Amino acid sequence: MSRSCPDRDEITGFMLGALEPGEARRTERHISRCEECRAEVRWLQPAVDVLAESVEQIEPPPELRQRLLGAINEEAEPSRSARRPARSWLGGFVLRPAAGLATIALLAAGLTGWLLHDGGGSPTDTIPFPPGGGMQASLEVNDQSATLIAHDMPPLEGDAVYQVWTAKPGGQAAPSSYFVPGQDGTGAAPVPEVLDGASEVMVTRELEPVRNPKAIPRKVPLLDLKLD
Amino acid sequence: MTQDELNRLADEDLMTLVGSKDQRAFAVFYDRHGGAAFSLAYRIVGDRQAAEDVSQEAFLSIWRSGTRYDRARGSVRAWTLGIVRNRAIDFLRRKSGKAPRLEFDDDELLERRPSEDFTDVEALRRETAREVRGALSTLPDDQSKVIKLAFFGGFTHSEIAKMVGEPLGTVKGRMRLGMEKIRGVLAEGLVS
Ligand SMILES: [Zn+2]
Repeated sequence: MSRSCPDRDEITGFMLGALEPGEARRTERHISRCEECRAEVRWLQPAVDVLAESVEQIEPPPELRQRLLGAINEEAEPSRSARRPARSWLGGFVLRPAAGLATIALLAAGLTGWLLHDGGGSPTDTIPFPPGGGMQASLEVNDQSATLIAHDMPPLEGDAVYQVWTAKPGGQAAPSSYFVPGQDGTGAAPVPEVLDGASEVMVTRELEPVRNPKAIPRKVPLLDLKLD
Repeated sequence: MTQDELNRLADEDLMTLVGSKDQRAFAVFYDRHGGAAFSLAYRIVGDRQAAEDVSQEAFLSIWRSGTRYDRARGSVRAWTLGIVRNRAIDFLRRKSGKAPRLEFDDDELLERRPSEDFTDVEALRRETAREVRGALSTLPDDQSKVIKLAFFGGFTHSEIAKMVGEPLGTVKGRMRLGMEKIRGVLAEGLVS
């Protein structure tokens, strides 16, 4: 190990998650560049791995399996009626590096025609969410705005909200807006990310609005719409 | 593929199917590792409901990013349990009002998976949990304690030093000595 290498105490601490965030980042950066330290990590890793196996084994509740398989089943089959709104489709398209120039030109021509035809506005597209837990929602999209409209939402207590999340294709979900339904169970929230290429809109129930822009959803979405 | 064939697939091949969103493969994957995942989550969060939530989040994140598992980087089991541990520790920290120390980055976790030790770990798994627990129980209490506080408690060196009332350097050294001992026991176990 060179003089700049973290010592073994630090590497062990790093592998057990015992370093302060700044230290952990520095150590991680170093390890990624230092073969000697990587070798140290490789050597110790089995000992870390067996810690996870060393706990008393208990049977998970069968409902966990059911819920999990139910959730992936829903994710695997987004509503067939879901259509990607034109504006969002363009946003997604532009992000795709593989797209040929000719295609872009064609698309631009088509889009210009469509915009001209509409005098710069566009009809509002209503895209239903796959039904979830008795709740109903749709996304209303035109080229100016995207709004989530939800019905039959169970009432909330305290500071709880329905948090909206969006994700771009292949990207991590991030918090968007949130809403609290009225007494009739109806709520609405702007989802501007849809105009910016987001391909998935999710709703979770949270104890309070999510303020950290880097947060990711921790719960299975109550509503989940994939736009493609 | 018949259910029987799925059941006989190696973890790594199963993950290829999971990556292509094969729900039956995912069910087999869960059946193999769900118990270990739930047990680890329960050990960390200490509450069945929270352990369920944490396990569910972890498996869903794997379903959503299954293609990112790379067999060159270690066993499916260790990778899965690493994700479960991260989420469980984060749950603890959220509960105690602390910000999560690190943003989740399961890729980061992958980077750290050693390919060379892959067979080691697989073999160890079959060596049964008894021997693994043995490795921990052979440690002096002061070493196993700091390791458990870090791994299952999510505490940092300095937090642990405060908790056990020992100097920081002592805590760091105990943690390393303990882990090196476990590593040594594992190596012996493989030889015999
Ligand atoms: Zn180094």
